[in-house]
Amino acid sequence: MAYLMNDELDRRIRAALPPVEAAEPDVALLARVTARPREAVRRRRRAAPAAALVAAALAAFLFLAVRGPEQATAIEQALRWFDPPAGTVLHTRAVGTLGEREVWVSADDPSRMRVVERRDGVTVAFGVREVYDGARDTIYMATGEGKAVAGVAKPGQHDSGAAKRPGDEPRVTKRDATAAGKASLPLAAGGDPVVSKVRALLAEGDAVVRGRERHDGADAWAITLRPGADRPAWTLWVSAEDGRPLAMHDPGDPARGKPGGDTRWTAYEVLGPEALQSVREAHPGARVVRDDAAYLAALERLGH
Amino acid sequence: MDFELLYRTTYPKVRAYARSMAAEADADDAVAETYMTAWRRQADIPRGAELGWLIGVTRRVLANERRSRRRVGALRALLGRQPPLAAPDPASRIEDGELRAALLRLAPLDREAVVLTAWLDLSSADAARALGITPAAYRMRVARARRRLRADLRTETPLESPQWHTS
Repeated sequence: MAYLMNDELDRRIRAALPPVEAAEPDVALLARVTARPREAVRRRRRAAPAAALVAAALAAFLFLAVRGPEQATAIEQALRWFDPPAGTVLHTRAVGTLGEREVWVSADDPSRMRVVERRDGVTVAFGVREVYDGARDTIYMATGEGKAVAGVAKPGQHDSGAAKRPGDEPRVTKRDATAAGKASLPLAAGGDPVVSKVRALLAEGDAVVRGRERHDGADAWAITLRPGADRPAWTLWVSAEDGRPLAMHDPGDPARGKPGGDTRWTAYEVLGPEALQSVREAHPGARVVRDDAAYLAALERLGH
Repeated sequence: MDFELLYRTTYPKVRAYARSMAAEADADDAVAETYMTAWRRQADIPRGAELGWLIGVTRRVLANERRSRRRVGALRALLGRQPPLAAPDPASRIEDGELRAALLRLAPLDREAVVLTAWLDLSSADAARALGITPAAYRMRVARARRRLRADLRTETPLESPQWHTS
């Protein structure tokens, strides 16, 4: 038996690369990106106190928001809600296909966020390398320090060594624990995926204002995809008063295996930086387990 | 920072990464989101690892999209429990069945490390930045992944299988 040399191995992996046709840099995308305001850059160059900057940003934002969008500016107004000013926290609460989901995310760093999901009366919360299981009132935190569990968690035995708790315990194999100990941990989330997706689609310039409608009892602008865009036409409804997002319908793309969904925002607001709490700050009385394998097992158990 | 120069020099590989990890529409959305983020956060882009930073952002955007879609599947109870997914998995896009199986036996980050190196020819600094690990950890993971893949993907040649003839 002969072993593959590195060159041979690399050639084989390279040959397995899915075909991607070469393309020149998208000039239209560059133009749309560089047309965006650079709030973050301006903020960093100022020497003013942070609180004054946030207050100024919020004041400017609210001034623009309460003017009310004309049809021609409805998309720009909506985009401001999806791309809030630097130094702020976007807070949303949505119900729909994904159940009920509440998100606080930093406008400066989407990886800094807290997500709360409510399923069947149980609260589950996710943060940066921490997850809260409401059914057990326990926060599982990743250490990323290569610490494996002490021994192997057996069914019915809690992996932190605390008293036994009822319910099924995930069976964590030694290999899983070792892998977890190598800090191969899930990424921090990158912001609310619905918000991120809509922001990208709006920024790409493929959206048009379909017209003014009544949606769920509210006076709204309906924004949808430009005809001819190579994707199913989703619809976003924003308040005709201030451009605040109200709801979205994504028909999905069954031919590409992409499911659709409906989202209705019951809260959508831009807050100061103090609004973003960690999972621990939000659940101060919960038990805390600092263990990479337990953290991974909790993510799997909670379907994240 | 000359943003236009950054865009023009990095766009081909950022796009290639996204297109190799996701369907065309999702990939293009992720590329747009990446450069929007880069435009807002130019001061955060590290000198000498710009490409790695950009690919790291693209990776997170794609992971978020996959996470969102997976929760929909779980709620609809179509497929039952699903394994946790981190970043987009390059193995899922490989048609070479033997290679895919061998890659899937690696730890997820080891798999990403060795595939990123081969597919995009990234420097250690860029690849480490994209994966969110140190360059030393990246080199260790690539070496370990290659060692295990070589053991899994042994080749046989006629010279290696001597035929013993007895009379």
